[in-house]
Amino acid sequence: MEKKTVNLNVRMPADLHDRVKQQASRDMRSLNLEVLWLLERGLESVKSADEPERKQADAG
Amino acid sequence: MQVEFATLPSVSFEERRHLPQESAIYFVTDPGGAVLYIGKSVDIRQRWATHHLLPRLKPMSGLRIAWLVPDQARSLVSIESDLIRDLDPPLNVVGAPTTKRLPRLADVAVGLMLRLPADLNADLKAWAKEDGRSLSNLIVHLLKRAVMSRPSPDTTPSPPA
Repeated sequence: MEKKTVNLNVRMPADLHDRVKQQASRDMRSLNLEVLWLLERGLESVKSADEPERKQADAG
Repeated sequence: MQVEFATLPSVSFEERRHLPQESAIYFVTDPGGAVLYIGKSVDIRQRWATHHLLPRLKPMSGLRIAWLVPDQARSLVSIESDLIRDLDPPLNVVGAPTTKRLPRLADVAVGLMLRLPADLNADLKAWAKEDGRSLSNLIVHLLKRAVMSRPSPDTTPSPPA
């Protein structure tokens, strides 16, 4: 079954758009896939940063 | 002149009717927090009822208007000119706008249509809510952080031959 998707229009500074575009071309990904990859990494980094705090809170 | 933008009161661009009726310096910021425009008025709410930038800013999302009520000892004009000189906002154009080309909106902000998996969208939405920011603002923030943590191609050393 196809994964459900959501369309979203985001406005961003032109220089940031250029940087992501350059990075997408370097990584040989579409701009949309590059953004998804970066967002997923961002979420993972926050979740892993939260993990020790949560463990500490559970222990305390 | 140093201004701590994070500590200034602000409203979203859409909520500009809730600006105070005060004499202040105001700052229009983009979703990433960059200052696009600096102005002054003896009544900033009234100023934004008829501001000349309204038609150009309305299509943009995630903008905020922050304000600074200055120390009475300094005039609004001198504070505004110091801040414009220091921050050089792209929408503040020196001289008569009729004789100078205004920066196009596209030079400042670019629209990007994204297709996100519904579960990622839901995670991001929850996170944005928790942080008290808009989804668009969170996405811009994450992208900025991600691209800044990676060296630009111009500075990446070539692999050894």
